[in-house]
Amino acid sequence: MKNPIFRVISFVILLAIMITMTFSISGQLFKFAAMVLTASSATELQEKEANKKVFEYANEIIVDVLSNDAVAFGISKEDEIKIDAYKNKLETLKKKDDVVGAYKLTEQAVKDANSFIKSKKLNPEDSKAKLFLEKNEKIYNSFKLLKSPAVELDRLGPLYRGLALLFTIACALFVLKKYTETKIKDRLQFLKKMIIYEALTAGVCVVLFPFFWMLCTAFKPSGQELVINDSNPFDIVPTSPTLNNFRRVLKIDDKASEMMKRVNDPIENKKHFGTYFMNSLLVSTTAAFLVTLFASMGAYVFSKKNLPYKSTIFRVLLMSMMIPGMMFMVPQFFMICKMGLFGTKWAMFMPHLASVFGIFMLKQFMDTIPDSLLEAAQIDGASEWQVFRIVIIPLSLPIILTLFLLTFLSNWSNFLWQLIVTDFENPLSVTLPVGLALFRGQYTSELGLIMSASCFSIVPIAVLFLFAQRYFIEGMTAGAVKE
Amino acid sequence: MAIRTTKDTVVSWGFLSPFMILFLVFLVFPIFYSFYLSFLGTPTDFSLANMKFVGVQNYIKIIKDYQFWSSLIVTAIYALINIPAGIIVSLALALLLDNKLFGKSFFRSAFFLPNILDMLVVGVIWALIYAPKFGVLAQISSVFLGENNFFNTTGLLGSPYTALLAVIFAMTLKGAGFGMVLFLAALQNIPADVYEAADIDGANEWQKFYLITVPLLKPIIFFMVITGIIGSLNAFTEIYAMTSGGPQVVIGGQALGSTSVAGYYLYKQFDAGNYGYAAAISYIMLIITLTITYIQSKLTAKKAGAKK
Repeated sequence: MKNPIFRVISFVILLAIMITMTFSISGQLFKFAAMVLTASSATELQEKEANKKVFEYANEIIVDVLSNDAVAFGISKEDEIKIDAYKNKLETLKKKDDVVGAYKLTEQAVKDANSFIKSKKLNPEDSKAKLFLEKNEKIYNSFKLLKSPAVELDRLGPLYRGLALLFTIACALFVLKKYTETKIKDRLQFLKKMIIYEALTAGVCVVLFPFFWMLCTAFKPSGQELVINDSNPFDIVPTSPTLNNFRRVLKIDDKASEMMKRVNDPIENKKHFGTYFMNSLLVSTTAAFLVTLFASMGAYVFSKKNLPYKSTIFRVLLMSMMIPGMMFMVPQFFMICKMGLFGTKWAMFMPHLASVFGIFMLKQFMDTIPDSLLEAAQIDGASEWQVFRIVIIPLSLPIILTLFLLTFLSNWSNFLWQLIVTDFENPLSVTLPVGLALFRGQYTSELGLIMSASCFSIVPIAVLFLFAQRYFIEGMTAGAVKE
Repeated sequence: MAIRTTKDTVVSWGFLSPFMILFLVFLVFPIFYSFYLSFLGTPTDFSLANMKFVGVQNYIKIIKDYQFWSSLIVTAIYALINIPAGIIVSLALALLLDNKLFGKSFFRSAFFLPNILDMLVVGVIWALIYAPKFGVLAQISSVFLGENNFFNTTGLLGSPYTALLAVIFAMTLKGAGFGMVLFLAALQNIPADVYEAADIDGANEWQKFYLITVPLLKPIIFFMVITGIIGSLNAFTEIYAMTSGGPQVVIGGQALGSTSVAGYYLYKQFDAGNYGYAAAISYIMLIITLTITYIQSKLTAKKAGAKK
């Protein structure tokens, strides 16, 4: 272990692993960013038009200009073979619907057509040749104006690859510098740290891979979800991105609007993920608000008030937390039905408003608020409600916010209960998870659609987590640490 | 506030009443209501009104129901693999993170993130990753192993031997961050001089881990076991999203779902309209849960007593 050669060799190996990891991860991330940018730059019509026109222009240049017009100048056997090769290639690209390929082929064909005229040593002022060149250029100019996301992404290729390369080089240089700066006796420690970083990065990749794959697949055009990048099977970012999956999931694509004109069924038209998203948002926010209100009122009593049998009641509450939630499914369903709430938004959260966990968490916190503050407020003539509103609530605001977020979250993803009380015919009662389950049954193999529907549930929560991670992590682990 | 007055009591009940009413209506009453429902039969037309009183027949049916007992066994297997796997993975992550690292909070958040994401969506994504023919795993394995490999033909979720393990793998990755944060907090509370003392006594790294770290982490491990058991008994969404209880295996002439855990079986019975039967099953599950928690609390009480 103390051998310097061993140390250098392991450093080189670790550095190589680091460079590979950094390059592939940053490459995928930069490409993803470029992909989202290009996909959202074109409207559906532009995108469709562009993808159609690429092939039209390719056809025009290769079939019209190259093979038909060029014959007028007399072509050699060699040129004929070349033109045939172009035609064949275009056919295969058409079959594969490969927009980027067609684009590149056309660019090549335009250059070839120009050099063809030159090779014939025709006078460029010659009227026939002039016409030929002009036609060629005209098509090429309108061709360059096309706004196809796939082509745009291809154009950005050098940029995102260069950025990834630069980033990797910077990282490698940084590590090298640090290594040379480290004293010889500390270098083993340095190597250990590198191993830890690499293991953690690999772990993060494994844990977050499903979600990255979900995001990428959501941007893939229908029918091409399974196409693997030939050069690199691990490159999962789509090369021809599109927003069509999102448009279809939200029913704002052309096809659906045509259907809408024909059907014009207000209920059918609401069956999309925009509605489900709003339903989930409404249900979760209302539930979170009511739970925090009731729980903080209850916790106030348990923490600060003098109620007969207070501790007995509290113990009963805590015992009820031991009962598995499954237990309540059948009776609560019967109660909701008998109350006539089946298929309403109330049914989605009503049975979960009594949060014992919330009371427990808030009471723990309120116990730390000194009684003298309450007494001071009372002496100043504050009523009971005022003491609660002016003293208790502001002081326990962080924990109340935590409870709010956690309740929001649990209602956002409370699938089982929402599944059994949903009236599937009424889109106003379908929440996101239930909507996704229904949707998956309908489009079993359309990965792009399922994944873009999943985004509606995952992305908002991930963004929320980004801003309030402290509350989430501390709140969720609070119960355990108190043991 | 030391003197208890009638006014104080009234005010207290005023503050407590919204919560208590909801608690009594939606959490206490259902326990008794469920007991009543468990004596009712299956309505012919999914309606809630035409249910006849059938006495203890539901309970007799449970005793003879192979699928129910197999679902309990599956739940036990699920718990027995899932809980240790979760503890090991999250402890490993916590030990890795328990160093002076730049960007520690980033790693902590990144590992924690899957925890808060919707279980159904996570299940759906993993089901698509595992899927034969078009899943990610099938695609990548086809590149390296050729078309005719296990991942591409059957898929991990298609074989009764691997389906449950595949579910557990996905759930472990989803839940690892939670245990990791707990372990990390506990690790950072262990004073450094304990390890220094062990160093002086000539303990090696493994001995330090096994004799100091693990015993000091016991409360967390215990907590994770309890929540893991409750989680296994409540497991439903992950099974619904990934396997729907299948694939079936035939044991002794009975077709049993190899991933049909108790929670999923309960839902299936409920979905089929066997409301009374489902209520009876949930009662049996309640008794099982209470027994387990009772044994656990006895065990911990004994250990605590022995230590003193």
